[in-house]
Amino acid sequence: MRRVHIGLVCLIALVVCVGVFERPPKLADYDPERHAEFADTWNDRLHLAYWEKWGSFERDACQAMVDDFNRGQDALFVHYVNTSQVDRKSMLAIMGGCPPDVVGLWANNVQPFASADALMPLDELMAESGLSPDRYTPQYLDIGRYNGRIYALPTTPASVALFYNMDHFAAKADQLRSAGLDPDRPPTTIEELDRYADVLNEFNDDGSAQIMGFLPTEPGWWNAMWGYYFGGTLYDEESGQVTPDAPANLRAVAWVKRYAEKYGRDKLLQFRSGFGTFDSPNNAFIEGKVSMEIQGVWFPNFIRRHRPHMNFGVAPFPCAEGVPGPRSYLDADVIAIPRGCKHPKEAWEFVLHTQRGGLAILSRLQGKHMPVRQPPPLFRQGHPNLELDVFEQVAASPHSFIRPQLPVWQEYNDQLSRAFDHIWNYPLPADALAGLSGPALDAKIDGLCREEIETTYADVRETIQRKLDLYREYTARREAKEHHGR
Amino acid sequence: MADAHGTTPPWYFRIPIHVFLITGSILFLLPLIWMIATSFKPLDQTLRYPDSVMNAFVGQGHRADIDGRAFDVVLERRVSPVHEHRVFIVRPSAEFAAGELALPFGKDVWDKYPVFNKQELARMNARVTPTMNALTDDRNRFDPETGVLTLCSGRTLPATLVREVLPDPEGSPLWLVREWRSSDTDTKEIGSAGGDVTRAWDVVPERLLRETVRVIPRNYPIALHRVHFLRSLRNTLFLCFMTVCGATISSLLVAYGFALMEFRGRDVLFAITLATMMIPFPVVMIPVYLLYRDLGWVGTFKPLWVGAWFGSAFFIFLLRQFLLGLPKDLLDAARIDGCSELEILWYVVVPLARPAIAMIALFTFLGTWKDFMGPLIYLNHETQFTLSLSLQAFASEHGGTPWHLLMAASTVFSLPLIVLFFFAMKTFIRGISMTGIKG
Amino acid sequence: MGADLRKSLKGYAFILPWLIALFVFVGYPFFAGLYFSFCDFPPMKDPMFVGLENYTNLCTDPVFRRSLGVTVIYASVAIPLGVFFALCLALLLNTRIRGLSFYRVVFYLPHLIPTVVVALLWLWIFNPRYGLLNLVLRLVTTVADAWTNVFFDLPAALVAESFVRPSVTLLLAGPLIAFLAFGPWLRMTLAESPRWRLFLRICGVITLTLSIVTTLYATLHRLLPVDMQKLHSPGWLSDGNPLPSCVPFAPSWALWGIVIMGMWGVGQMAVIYLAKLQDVPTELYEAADIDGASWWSKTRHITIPLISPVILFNVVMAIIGTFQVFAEPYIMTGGGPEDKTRFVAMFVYDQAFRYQNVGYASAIAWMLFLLIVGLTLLAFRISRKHVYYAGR
Repeated sequence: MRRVHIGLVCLIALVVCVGVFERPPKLADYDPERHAEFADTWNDRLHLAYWEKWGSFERDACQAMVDDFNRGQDALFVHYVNTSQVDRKSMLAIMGGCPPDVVGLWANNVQPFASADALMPLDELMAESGLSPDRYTPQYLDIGRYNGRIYALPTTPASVALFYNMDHFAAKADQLRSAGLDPDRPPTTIEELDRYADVLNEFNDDGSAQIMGFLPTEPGWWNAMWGYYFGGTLYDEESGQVTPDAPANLRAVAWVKRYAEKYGRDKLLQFRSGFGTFDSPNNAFIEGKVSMEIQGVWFPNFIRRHRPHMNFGVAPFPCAEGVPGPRSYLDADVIAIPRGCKHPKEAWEFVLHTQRGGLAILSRLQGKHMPVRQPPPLFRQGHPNLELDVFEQVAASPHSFIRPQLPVWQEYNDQLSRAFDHIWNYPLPADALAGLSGPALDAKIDGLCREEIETTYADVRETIQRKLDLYREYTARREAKEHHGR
Repeated sequence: MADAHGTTPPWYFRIPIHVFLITGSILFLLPLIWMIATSFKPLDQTLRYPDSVMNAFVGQGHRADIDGRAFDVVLERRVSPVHEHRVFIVRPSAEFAAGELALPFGKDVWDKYPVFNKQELARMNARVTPTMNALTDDRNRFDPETGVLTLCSGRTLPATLVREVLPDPEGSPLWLVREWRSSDTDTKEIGSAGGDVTRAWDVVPERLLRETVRVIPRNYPIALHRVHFLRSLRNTLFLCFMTVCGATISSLLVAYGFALMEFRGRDVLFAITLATMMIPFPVVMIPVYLLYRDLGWVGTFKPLWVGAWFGSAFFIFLLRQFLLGLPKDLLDAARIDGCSELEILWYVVVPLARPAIAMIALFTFLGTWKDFMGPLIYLNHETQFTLSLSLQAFASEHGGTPWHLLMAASTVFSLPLIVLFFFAMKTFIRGISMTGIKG
Repeated sequence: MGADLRKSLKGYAFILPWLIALFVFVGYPFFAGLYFSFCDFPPMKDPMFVGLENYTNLCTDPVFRRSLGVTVIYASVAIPLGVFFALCLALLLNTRIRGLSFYRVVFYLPHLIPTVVVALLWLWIFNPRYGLLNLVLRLVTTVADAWTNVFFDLPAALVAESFVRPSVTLLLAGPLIAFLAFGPWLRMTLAESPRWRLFLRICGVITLTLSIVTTLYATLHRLLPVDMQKLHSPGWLSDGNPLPSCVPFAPSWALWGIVIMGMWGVGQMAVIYLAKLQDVPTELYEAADIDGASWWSKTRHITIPLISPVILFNVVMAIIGTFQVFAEPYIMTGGGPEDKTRFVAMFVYDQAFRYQNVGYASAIAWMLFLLIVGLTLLAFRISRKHVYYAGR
């Protein structure tokens, strides 16, 4: 054998050794920096992996909850693993048969994961431990439900409300009064909201906006949900059809379109381009550029962070006339136990702890309310979110809604966003609106756009309904096959 | 002399060429410069939009000229003594918690729950003592006649008046400013200097404030610590080493086979190799994961470097073109001398092919260094994470991304590559040059 | 036969690693992907065969059609621009000027920065109000407007006036007649001095360029008034309107933004051109010098034909790359205003991981693959006439 051949063989052997002798770190590896206080019971504990998506300060909040659990007992130790794209990673892990013990997911992951049998149903475990479903606000529990069974429990709930700038209201008190509106309280219906916004608008000499009373596209995360505030729904349970073009939804879109046309789309684009995110002093509301805005339960935190003494108020977001309220869009992040988890009973112990005391810690530290009907007595005292009661009120309302629990929701949402953008950018003839104002202007805009709105949303309905029907057909076929095979 | 090639244009073309290249370079460098500039800014400057080009690149701060001395300050908020009540600076006669000044509840309820935000707790618990001043605006009240200070929490205590905050005679608005220290870089301290009540503060009119430049090199050690730099670097270097070795050795072997050996089906196989370059990644991603899962390699480093040891179509293609350009007689001579193919490869071809091999090594190194998808899917434990994955540690969903730290980490992440490429550029180009890409 | 067999075996031994990869890492996933494309495969269940239904659904899916449209439009704009700019850059970098190694690294820089940072940087650059791009555009359009006013509108108005008022005609005619009359004499006197000739040539070139640019800008301004006004401060990534609006299938402002971002990455292609440019034998240049060829004709007749194989290579690589554009637009626009930046690769990713439809995603990926192969073959066929292979 020549030298070169020997060399090659040695090299390959070396590489194989590197591969074979790799010792991937185990979950139960002891790290003296972080685990010092658990040193004595370290080896006796059972180690569980908890994959979560949080980073930064939410991560610290969750870590506090996990530490609380670990300190409170001797038998288990939960490792909090921060993972980006946690849904994708856990999907692959569950497929691969090496899932974590507990996983934190988003609300829209529940449906696909549960329908694929990737999560363990929690009903029996809840019954055994005495965790009654009644303790939860029903909508938050529905987020984790699939086919009537509970697969995931809520951890951090979200709800939205109307934020209004009291200083702006005070500054324009006279104009508001002469328009027949009360400057000491926020609007209670959407029609009133429009009238408040009209008065609160301020424009520069060149027609660009200085302050907008209200802008439905700020922050623009819930554009698909406006129809609900007009009494519509996106999905009809009884007929099993998606209803993006229900009359109430179309009315909502027309309402939004009026804002685009009345104040000029291009001007609004320039106006909005200067806004920062919700965690920035350039945020539209925090800066005082927009007087009223729909935002979530986390927002007071950020207002206080960037403009600590801002004079703002929070109220339930108004619904259209005749629509029962108050209502709010509810969402939550969930926690679940994957199927194939090696220690389901122990994992449940941790989940139980989060649902009992842990949630209180987590919600307080994130400044949010709890997804339960009756939070523990000390929860509200000294809560950093001073506007908590409004959010609790809307969360408890029976009219509040969650996103439709559909397997095609993601695609539906994307298409709704696209339709929304399309209508927002739909050009009207240049001088069609010249010289009009008030209700005549509104009527003219509605008239010009009605057909386009109807066709666009009808297209959305067709596309998504087709996907939904296809999904149902495939599921039925699958079940038939399984039945046959058995 | 690799760069002695090419034409020398006449002088009247050379000037515009220089101008064009310089403008182009500035444009290309600009985002990089911005990244480095942002990494030196304090956090609050990264969150707001820059209102001037200067602002975009350099962090701003303020200095206050008080009694002839200049202090580094942070603007906390406006103080307007034109509200319904007058504003005073008072000195309390007894101690109280700072938290009682600004919020309508006392500090004792905070103790019931573990608080993660140590700065907030410190701020709540910090004591305002009779040696310090307190500002009464907003919800606190001070009555100068009776000398009683009423805190938001409802508690009353006697206090002495230090001075009343009157509107500025020259009409300038008043600002509450606090001392700023260069250690104020953490995510949670935005704007106000950590809310530490013991820091010096004062109410000054705007005309006494000047803007200054703030540069914070301390962002770098903080960012690197958060990213567990040494550990991530070690993991990344290990992966880079294994993939570079694998890619060069296997590509060399295979390209040699395709270029200089004859066997049946050689050209067909090579055409198939070319075709595989066109397969979009999403097609193969999930089946490859399932394959590794069956092998039990998920959670280890193996999926990230084993693939490189089997060759990559692009490098095989380039190397083969290169080897085709080598003089055949040299190889034939070596064969006549009785060398085996492997020996020819090692003793004859490799020295000639050094530039091309260097190019493959560079490209592979770059690819592995930057790779994010692979480590994300296959690595489960924090101690295994690579640099590119650790950069994700800064991303926060619900606000609070520390941009300054992210930029600092990204600069450190990119710098080695830039330095490496600067020195290797010549070899790099020479390497591709002789591949004679003939298609 | 024995020696032949032994030779073959030795050959196969050498390419063994690649063969394994071909079957295991490429072949199996490739054909598995093909199989999945005929199935309904939600990620955590087993694939269920459904025949051609995925493909028929694809044909009727408006979202797919839109994303394919976006990708094709992007490819037809980005590929020519990219190849052209890379070539220009490489030609410039191939000249013997100082600071070459510095320039080479600078133009390759964009590939050395992590994707996340690149996306964030460009988000800032494209911001309509505070971004760098609009800052530059505002400057440029203000200057261009002023320039057009002085050098185009004014003379045009004067000429128009001259048709109406004879006094203006005389005013304009004077210098013109003088130029025509004394021009040849001027040329003759100055012709002896080569420096003056050069000077006149430069002046001529500059004047010609400026007048062309001015006329172009002015004409466009008149023809596309709305769009040109938008140039003062475009909405970039939030604007889904086509530019220019009179051209059918024109890319939207957002898509142009992605194209510009792609131009930032031409360093890769330029470097490959540069490398090949080294290969051009200097003797050819020297021979051309003897024949008295100018720099431009040298480039046109020697350089470009000799590097045509690399141009082809880059075009093919660009085709493959453009159809897989995914990461940056995903982070920056997430599909863009009204799906105007929803590329096919993004659509595949969405289908597989967000909509839980791996079977459908595989079908799209396969169609993408076939499209890429088709375009590549087309490129090769077209290139046969134009590409010059030296020494084959």
